[in-house]
Amino acid sequence: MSDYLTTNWTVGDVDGQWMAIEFMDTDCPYCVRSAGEIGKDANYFMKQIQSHSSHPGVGPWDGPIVNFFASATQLDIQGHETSRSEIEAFRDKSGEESCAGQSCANRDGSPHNFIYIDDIDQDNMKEWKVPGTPAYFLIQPDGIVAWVSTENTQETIFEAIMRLTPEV
Amino acid sequence: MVDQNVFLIAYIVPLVFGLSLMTKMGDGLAETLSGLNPRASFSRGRHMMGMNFVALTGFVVSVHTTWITFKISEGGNVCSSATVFSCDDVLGNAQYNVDPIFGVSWGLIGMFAFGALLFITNSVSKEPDALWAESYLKYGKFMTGGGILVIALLVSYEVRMGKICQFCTMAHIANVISLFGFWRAGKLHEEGLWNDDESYDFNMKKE
Repeated sequence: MSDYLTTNWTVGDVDGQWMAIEFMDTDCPYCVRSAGEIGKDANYFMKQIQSHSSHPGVGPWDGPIVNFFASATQLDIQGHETSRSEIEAFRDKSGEESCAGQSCANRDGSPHNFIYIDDIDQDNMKEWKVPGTPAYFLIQPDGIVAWVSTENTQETIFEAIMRLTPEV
Repeated sequence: MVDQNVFLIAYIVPLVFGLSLMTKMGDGLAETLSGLNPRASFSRGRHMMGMNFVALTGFVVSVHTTWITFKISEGGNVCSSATVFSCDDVLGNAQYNVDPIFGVSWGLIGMFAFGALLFITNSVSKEPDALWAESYLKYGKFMTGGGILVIALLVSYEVRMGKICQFCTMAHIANVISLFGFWRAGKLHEEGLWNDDESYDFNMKKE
């Protein structure tokens, strides 16, 4: 992820690439339900699609590229046991694995085109002091955390990116 | 967002108040409550008023747990491994949040159960001397008795998950208090004390 950092980035510079990180658990029903929307956000802000079907009025994204990552963990809750193959099934909407009581292949949205990180041992989650999933972090190009979902519960990651990233 | 503990207190207060009306503690409230409902000046009236409070609280808690269950489908909250008290994790766990036979959510089952109990307690409190009243109270006792088995199953789920849904626990307590209320009302019928005899207070020991 450090490859995406621009250490000499200054506020207002549209060239630097931002990062959005989702901490998730493939057996957390909230993560399963939000998978469709986060997939649309990722495709839109990574400029892989021209429009966002949940926000048809916003037009093509002309702000900086926001690279999405998912850190997939396994919460210490009965029934939340996961594996790499389950994480891959969740990401790709494939396979026979079960996510939160349903087939991972049947989760909302399309397959995700962004990077998933294996955090089954919760190392990243503990390091980032994430209290639960899903949790979203928006990182500036210089590595400063610009926004955290747990401290902004009334705002979605989509709204945060629209508000905080500089316009061209 | 309203603190969850505020909701908890809002449920505990009517449960404790309802229970107190079913016991000797409620006698001190007779004068105050009789202004609201003349029947409350008698122990039987207070007993049924208490049962109405408890059944209504159970119904409201069940509506709350149903709302939490359906809120999950909107993707509005978080799964947490850090806290023991988490209704989101209990009601959001697809392995345990519906009954094993019909797949109906436990909150919805609670709503129907407490709705039926509320019908019984309200009917009997309106017409305590009706011929059907004693039968209705028996049905209520059987329902809440069966509820104990359901509670045992749900508590076993919580033990397995290592999580407790505090609102579910409130509904369980409401069921146990209701069972006590129906049992006590049945005892009063058996002992011939199911009346509004002012000279006798059934909360006092018979001399």
